[in-house]
Amino acid sequence: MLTFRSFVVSLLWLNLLIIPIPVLATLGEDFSPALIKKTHQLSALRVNPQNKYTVNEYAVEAGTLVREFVGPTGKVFAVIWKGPYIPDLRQLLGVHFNDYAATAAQLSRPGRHPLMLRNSQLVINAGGHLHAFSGLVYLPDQMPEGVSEDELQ
Amino acid sequence: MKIISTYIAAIVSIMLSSSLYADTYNTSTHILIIPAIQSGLATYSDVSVDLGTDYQVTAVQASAASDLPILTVDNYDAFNNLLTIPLVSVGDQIYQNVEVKLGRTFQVLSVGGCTGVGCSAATPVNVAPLIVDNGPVSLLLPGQLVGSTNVAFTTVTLCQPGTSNCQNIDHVLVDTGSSGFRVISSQLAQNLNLPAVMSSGKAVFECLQYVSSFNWGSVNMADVKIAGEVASNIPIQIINANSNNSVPRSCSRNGGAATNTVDTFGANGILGIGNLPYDCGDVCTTSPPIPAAYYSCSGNTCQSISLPLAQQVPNPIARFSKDNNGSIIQLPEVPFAGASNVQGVLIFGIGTQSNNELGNAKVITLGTNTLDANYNAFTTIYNGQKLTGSFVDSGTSAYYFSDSLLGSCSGLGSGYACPKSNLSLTATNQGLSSSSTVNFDVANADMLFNNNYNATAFSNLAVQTAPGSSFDWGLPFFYGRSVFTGIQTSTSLPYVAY
Repeated sequence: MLTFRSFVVSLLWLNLLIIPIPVLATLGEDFSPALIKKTHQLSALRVNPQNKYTVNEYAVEAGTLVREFVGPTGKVFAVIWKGPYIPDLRQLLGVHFNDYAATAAQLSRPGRHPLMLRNSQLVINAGGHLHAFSGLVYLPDQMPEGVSEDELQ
Repeated sequence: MKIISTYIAAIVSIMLSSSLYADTYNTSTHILIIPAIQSGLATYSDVSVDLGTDYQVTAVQASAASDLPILTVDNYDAFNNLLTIPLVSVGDQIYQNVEVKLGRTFQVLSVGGCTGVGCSAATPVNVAPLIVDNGPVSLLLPGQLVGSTNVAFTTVTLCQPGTSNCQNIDHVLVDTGSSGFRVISSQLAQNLNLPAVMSSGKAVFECLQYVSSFNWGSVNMADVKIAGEVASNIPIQIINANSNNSVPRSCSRNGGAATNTVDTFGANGILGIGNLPYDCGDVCTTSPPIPAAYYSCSGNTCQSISLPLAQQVPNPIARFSKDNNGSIIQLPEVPFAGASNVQGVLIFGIGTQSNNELGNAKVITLGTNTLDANYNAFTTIYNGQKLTGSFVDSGTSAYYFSDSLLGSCSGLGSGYACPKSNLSLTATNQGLSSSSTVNFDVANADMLFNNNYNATAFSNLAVQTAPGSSFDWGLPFFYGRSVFTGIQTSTSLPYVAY
């Protein structure tokens, strides 16, 4: 069984700075070490001090940064992005992409506005403008104990 | 009696035809050339006026007199937009005192000359009118009777490059948050032939993503004219109104809505006059191509491509032959309860003419490192928090920020903030080298709309965002100010000033 501690240890042992994209992980799904292999893309991994989660970070086009927050169950419970372009949200949000798109489609005022949604299953906060986008999407019911939204930066 | 009935018949026939005929009036471009206008002791000759698309002839009097038409400025009632033309000739017919109710799209285009004492430029070449009104269509929201709110529009003239085959596009959204001119394809006249931009024999298309929507459409060449300024032969985007089936997956991957109709887009077009000179720039000239930017298409099959700067969609101001380093938006103060049909101006150039000096405006310089938190943005300090990535954006219709006092509306103001009482707030915007404090108000949107549902402009509308979000200073910030947007060049950093 993959415990959180052995998961973290195996990641650190692999000395990983290199994680493939885009076959990485999707919101709500497992982050699997088996997928890790060497690529040209640089990334970073950090473990938060209380070992409640790990953050997997990588860059997509033009230096746009994506961070995936992985909980003790090995599942991605939050994603954030920041940079000149919006990443592939179909890949990043998986089954939650449809909810994201439905929220955008229901905006009562025409388009170029921040996108926000807040319910017990899904929280979306996306904003920015041309060449300066940022977004946070997380699953409240999969947040590890004691982790607050403020930490998802 | 007979004279009166002839008079009435003449009015009726002119009103029914709902058009103004004159030897110097071009019905297809609705441009009227007024041979002479007197203002005091000065006589302006050949004043060219665009009557726009929404004027109405409201009164006319038949006359047998034949005289040189003289229009005095006294005959133009600017408050009610009523122009009284002393003489209009229609073939052999002469009509006197033709009263025309000018619509929102009226503009004075040019003045041929001036003689006499006290001549001055009737209309500066670098000034375009702005209107914050209901928009091109009635955008009905659930439970509301109001159309557009806090959107500034202007009129842009599009021409087939190098020709006089032109079309005025009214209700173009003025957006300091993006770059490039885009128009909804359904608004273009059939005979406006704008050549397609090509790459390796295929037509170039573009995906322009916003936060919650995108524009998909072809890239074509046009002359873009606003007031007296001209951007000759530049790429623009024609937003394809029929594109729903052919949008590439990479374009729709932002989860946004394809706002490709006037209804869903909220305007006939958009004039992006932000800080960046191109809508993409160097990063789109190199390989591998950015997935959701430029494409070459053959039928419904498109692939992402890199594109030289010359073929990318530019900020039209940067391509004017002069007054091309930025712009100023000036809108009047809006009273607490809101206002309708607020008029202002869009001035081209900063420090290039006597009417566009920076003066005492505080300059907030923006970051230029694409990986920096303040790329094309600045820091807003609010409630002790430093909010990076903040920006000023005429294309946003409210103040978007986070404050637990904002609350959210459940009535007519649904989507906006509904604080329990009116808020008088302060924030400080910090650029690279200077900072400036802003005082602003937020009121309860349910109450505002309940009391004034016809209003199209409110200075105190806000939307609650998540804690830590960037501060988006939307159109309310512009009321009662001159807001300068400085375009980034090889020698000038991008900035906002006010």
